[in-house]
Amino acid sequence: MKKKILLGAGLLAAAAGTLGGCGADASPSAGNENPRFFTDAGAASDRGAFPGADAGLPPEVEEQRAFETPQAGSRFVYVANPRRDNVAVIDSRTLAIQSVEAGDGPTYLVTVPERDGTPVDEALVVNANANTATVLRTSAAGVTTTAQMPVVAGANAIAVAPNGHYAVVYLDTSRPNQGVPAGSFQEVAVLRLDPGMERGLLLSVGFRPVSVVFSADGQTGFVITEDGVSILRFASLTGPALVPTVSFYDDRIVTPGDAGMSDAGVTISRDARALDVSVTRDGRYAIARFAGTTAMRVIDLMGRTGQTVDLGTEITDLDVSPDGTFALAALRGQSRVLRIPIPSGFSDPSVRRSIDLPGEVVGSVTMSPDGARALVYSTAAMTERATLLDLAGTDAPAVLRLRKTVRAVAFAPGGGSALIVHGRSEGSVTEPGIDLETQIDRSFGYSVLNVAERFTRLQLTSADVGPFALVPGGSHAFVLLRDDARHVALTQRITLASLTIQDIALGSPPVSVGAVPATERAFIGQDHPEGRITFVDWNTGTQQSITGFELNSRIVE
Amino acid sequence: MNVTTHSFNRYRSVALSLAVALTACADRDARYELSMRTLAPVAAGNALVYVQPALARATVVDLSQAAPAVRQVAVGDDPVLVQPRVAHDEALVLSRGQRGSAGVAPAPASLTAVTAAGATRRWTLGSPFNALSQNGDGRYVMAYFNNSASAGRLLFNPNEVAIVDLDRAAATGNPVVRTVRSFGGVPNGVVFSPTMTVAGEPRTLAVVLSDAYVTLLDLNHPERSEITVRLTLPEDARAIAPAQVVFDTDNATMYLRADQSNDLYVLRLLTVTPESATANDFRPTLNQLAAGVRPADLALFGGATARKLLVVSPGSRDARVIDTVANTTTVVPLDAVASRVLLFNGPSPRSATSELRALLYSTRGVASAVSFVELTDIESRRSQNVETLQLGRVINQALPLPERGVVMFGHPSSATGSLSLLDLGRRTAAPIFSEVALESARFDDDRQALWVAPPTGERLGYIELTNFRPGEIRLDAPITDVIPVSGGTSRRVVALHDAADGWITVVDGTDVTRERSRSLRGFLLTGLLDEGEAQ
Repeated sequence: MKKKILLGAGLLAAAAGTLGGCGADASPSAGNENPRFFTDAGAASDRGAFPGADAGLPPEVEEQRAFETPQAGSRFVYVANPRRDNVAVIDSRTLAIQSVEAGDGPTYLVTVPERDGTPVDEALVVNANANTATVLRTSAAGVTTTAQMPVVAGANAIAVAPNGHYAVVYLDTSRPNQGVPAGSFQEVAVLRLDPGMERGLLLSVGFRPVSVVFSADGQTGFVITEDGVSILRFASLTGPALVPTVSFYDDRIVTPGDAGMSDAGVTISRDARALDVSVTRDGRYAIARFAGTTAMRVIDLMGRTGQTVDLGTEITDLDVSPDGTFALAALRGQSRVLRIPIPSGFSDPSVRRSIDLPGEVVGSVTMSPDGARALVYSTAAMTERATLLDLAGTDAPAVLRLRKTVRAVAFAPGGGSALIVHGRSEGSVTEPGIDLETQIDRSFGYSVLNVAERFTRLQLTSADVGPFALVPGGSHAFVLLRDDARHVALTQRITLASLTIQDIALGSPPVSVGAVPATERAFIGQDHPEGRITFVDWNTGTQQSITGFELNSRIVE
Repeated sequence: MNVTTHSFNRYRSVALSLAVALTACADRDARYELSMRTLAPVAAGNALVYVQPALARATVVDLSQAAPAVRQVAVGDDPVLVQPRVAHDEALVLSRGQRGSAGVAPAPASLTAVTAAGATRRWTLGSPFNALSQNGDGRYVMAYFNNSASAGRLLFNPNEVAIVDLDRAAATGNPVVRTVRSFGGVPNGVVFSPTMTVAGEPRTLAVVLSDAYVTLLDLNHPERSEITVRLTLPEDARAIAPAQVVFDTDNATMYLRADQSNDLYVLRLLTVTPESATANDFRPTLNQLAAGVRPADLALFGGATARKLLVVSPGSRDARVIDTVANTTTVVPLDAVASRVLLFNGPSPRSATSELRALLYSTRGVASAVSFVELTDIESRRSQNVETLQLGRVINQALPLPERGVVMFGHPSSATGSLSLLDLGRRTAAPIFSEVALESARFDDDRQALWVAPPTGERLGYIELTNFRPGEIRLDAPITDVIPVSGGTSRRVVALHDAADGWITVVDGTDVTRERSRSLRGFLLTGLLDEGEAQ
């Protein structure tokens, strides 16, 4: 099973533009994972670090942040306040705060980054106690208007389509929620967000939606469910309608005794769940892998047909390039990355290109937003290396010595830099007598990679690496560090051109980070009873904090 | 004896004789029973103003000439408060008016301004307020109900206030009478901002302090609605009592300190587009700054674009420097607990350059040392910029005079004196023996001397602040208070003596001798006979 680690709410705002633009593969950032940003964190089955040593590994754990953390629009930051049924709208330019009434229990909030390429200040919040969603729209003058639409009972996940015309709201049972409601797990709400034309439509889809992705033009949504992919063609949704769902399984090729699906010489268990589901930029194909198998299933979403592609070795990671022209499969058992052209590589093995990395543990692959490079690494093996692949040119793979194990990797927008979050070994850093190498292994930390120079800087930290954000343009990154027991509450501002790092102390423990493009400020939401947020100018490092959202909302004129 | 007693005594004797002569008469006029009690007199430029509530009149003793002139002027019925008008040679008399009774017509509450020359202006207030607060240049005054006093009426609204523009005559719209929004509290006090640019326009704000909230009133646009800022959430039961407001006029910001809160409240006044003619063109946004444990005093320093707050927090025994732009805090540990901040410009023992520095001290009787703080680079140097000076005795009073480079501290009486004069530049403290406490001490008008008088003694003491030389003069009667008066060609202080008919001694501050002093008695009887004739 592939592990995904949630690395920060702020990445949504920071990376939305970049990843939205390259969202051909309908990656989480393009849509259904909109409130979260996932980075490949490698395959747990890589433990052992040797070919063929994949079996018997525990399932991956998905780290998830709380949902009430701030989200940024172009200039304004939105903070849901379920206790007071309102949303604090914070102007990152003036730090003025206005409180806007939402519905009953506004809890799950995301922002709409742009509409038809124009940055906007809009947020969509699910009112958990009312089965409604409120869209908040803030003008340049700071005036916020609202509109309400119905959503499904228990909804806790929101995905906003590229171009900002539509959103899909649903219940993701893998996430924290207000309790599983009575009713169906097969319903989503499609919300039209165009100003003045807001409306919501409830639709039945496959069982237990887990994510929603979109085509690059934002006109089609793909609900990934346990049953398969439910296709939402927004323009045609004028009322209740049957949503076509395409299964990854093909009942015509089920093996005797319902032991699974057998195709192309590979048997896929009926209980196997599709992993790493990706949809190509044009919405034509969906591809997925299945844990413990060598098979990749390809679904033609137009023709509603499927095929199985046997790659010969268990696939530990599978990603589609941002432009949708190829897929990368990690074949740890062969220390190999396989580049599969789409669609020709599905049926013609001769066009697939192998990138062999002998001696390296090829557990997971993370591609840069432009698809020009990829980092190959393992989160399961205790290796302290990663390999940089040049996917656009002819540079040979470069093995990077990291000095610590890898937990997760994220590229900056533009792909010039990457942030590598490290794991740590058990034991105290301050234990007397241990050597420097052991101290490093026992420390929290991360590395920053300058891709062009293939230069990495290791940064040990005083607390576990929390959420982080890469700002639009990729010039800076912000990492949150929090350890309440040791009173660690700070953010580190990383200048990616020089790989220099500035500590910025915070007044209270940080919980979320993001970027506000219009004012070029990062925001750090903090754990404070009355609400606290710190804005940091990402160019200068100067900071401003405001505390007391609730009191601000109670100013009366 | 060379103290001159003027002929005002004749009034006293006449009036008292008249009173005695009439005691035998039945059904005599009730005016003969009126109390001669006065409110505590105040200075109005070079005059003293006594207010006699029973007579609803003020007696103005004009000291501008060698021969004092006495004038009586009418004020509103039932005067309850008189205070000097800030930055003006006037006194303000607040009268609660007359409820009315059989044969007595009701009279409205009013405010009367009395000049040193005896001229008056009056504004009708409507409600029987009992407290006044003025702004820094004395243009505006707000009348309100003090929380601790009864209104003396069947019904009254404790949240009603009246704002008077003293530069304008009484007219429609002056005063502005309104009821401020309440969340269950009543005004505990009012502070006024200096003139500050808000929404591109210079203006003065009144900040009404109530338990757990403050109310902002735009005095330049009194027709606009007030803005109420709550300081606690509904579930917060703390008794947050606003206690101090510091204004940053360059940045349209105010900093509020409140008892029972470890946070400072920052109100930035942001320009907004008003939604109606009665809406404000600004809106406060509130921020909270952690300021240690029980912050007790704060002061602003630094340039407009790099404004910083210096806060002393006796609960955490430290000072904190808060960058008001970044809202970052630097903690500066102190050897001596401090509850007050005094900013002063001056040299130090290590630098002859005069620059802004701070003295931190406590008057709560718990610290016997003070801390000098170099403000330059304080955030990086922290305790390196702190110098502790031991005074050897705990401090329970302080009279700062930074323009003279001194602070006078009061201590519990001891063998080493009950006062200390702290030289801010040299950072030395000179003990001074005194038989009086500092509560009754008064600086003269140009801050050249400090005057003290024991409450029951006949001697008036002083210290020349240019050379710290003490002196004293014996007067003819016990002194109840000392009031410096301004104007004229020489420094003068007026010693008050306890006498129902009015008794003062005017002392020349430049030549403190009995020969140069003049006593004046009986002036409160002036016109008493005329009062009777007029009826």
